Amino acid sequence: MTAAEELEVIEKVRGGDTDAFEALVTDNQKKVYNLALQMLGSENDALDISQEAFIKAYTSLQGFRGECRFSVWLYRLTYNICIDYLRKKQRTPVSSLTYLDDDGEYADLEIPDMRYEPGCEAEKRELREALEKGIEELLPKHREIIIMREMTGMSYEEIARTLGINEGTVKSRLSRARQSLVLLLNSYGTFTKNSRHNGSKEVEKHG
Amino acid sequence: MAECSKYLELISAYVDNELSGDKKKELEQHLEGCAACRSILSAYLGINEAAHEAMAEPPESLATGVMDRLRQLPAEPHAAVSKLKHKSTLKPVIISFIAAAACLALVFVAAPQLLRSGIRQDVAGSAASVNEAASEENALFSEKAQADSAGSDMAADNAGQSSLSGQSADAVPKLATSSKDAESSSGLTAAQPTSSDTTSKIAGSEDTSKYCAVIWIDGQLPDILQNYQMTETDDGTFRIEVSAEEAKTLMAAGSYVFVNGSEDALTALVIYTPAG
Repeated sequence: MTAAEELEVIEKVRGGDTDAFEALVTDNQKKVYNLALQMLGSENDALDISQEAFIKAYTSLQGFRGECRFSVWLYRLTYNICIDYLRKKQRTPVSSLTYLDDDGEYADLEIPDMRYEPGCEAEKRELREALEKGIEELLPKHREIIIMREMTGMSYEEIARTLGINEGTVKSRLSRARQSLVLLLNSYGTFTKNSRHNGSKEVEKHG
Repeated sequence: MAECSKYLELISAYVDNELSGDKKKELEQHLEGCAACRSILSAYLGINEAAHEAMAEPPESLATGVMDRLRQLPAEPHAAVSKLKHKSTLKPVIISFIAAAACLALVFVAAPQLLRSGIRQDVAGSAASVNEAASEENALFSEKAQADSAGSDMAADNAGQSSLSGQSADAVPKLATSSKDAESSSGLTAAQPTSSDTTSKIAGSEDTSKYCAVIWIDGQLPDILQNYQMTETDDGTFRIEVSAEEAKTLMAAGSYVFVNGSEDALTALVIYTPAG
């Protein structure tokens, strides 16, 4: 949905068309659900919290001024509900290993000098499992920020406003979160297993 | 390898498409000559891709659960009133005074025989009319409270607002002004055009002198009306004709917005808007 389409739907809903809201649900539910799932670790909790986020978005629709995309507003809402929920349950996100402190040194980040590219489904699944494990072992604020970036695709600016930090901090924190993840995956042997030699594909992809 | 540390953050931003211009060119140039950094980029991209592939499909019950609950959201007067604590509570009080005054005026206009018969003789009658005024006031107050609140049920807000504006055609000009003030302050910007459309429809098509009352019911049709003959209109509402007795029961319930029509009429009109 484009920003304009979002606003159209919102106007309809404000005009009394409750059913129109369903388009916003369908469009955003995957990201909302996965954000909640990663933050809470439980499918049931994720379902409950996701529904609560949509309902709250609906009932607070008057307060949405359109200063950002509805979807971003919704992800922010979801994140805040998750934080409140975790606080109430006195659950702190898991972090068993402190691989890197906040000022990780590059010297530690030795990974094999090969291009990492999982080929078949089995390799991809291995990577996903390793990733899941690795994310769980990150420092809480690293875990949170990488989840937020990877699950919702929010820009650095949007993440900055959601977390109440400045963009520079988002940039550096994400960088350190990734460094930690790579170290962790390396320790599981993920990168050594499935490396290929390739040309400079990555540079072209982002060119 | 330590000299590449400054590129780590750039690589991370590059993966997120947050790198542009000079910094981007600088990184791309460096990557061409640095295998270690290419490995890092490759690992970050692998993580990014895996994270997206790992995203679960939400269960179907997510969307259906949300929509079910939204459609059930009631237009409850007491629920709306409790939201008032976040807003100024002065306006509804003022409006209810005006509404009460207007209602009493309406009662005396509509039922002049009360004045003639005298209070001693027609105690029952006047008590009934005071109750009527009170319930009318409650209906209006609760409707205003809905308009002022964050608004959980947009449909009810609209029906409520349009009924008030419709009422303004019945010689209660003060009420119309105050309702307009409430409308503009409630922040329902997008709702305005729609409610005036409905208003003109109701004011135009409803001949209130034909009926003793016109009652608006939204969402849940009460049991007593379940088996009634309904006619569907262009705007998706249904018209039901009920007896004056039934109308009195509905109005006394206090849950519906209504306007009084002609005392002599034996039937009332219910305008029913189904949920969703």
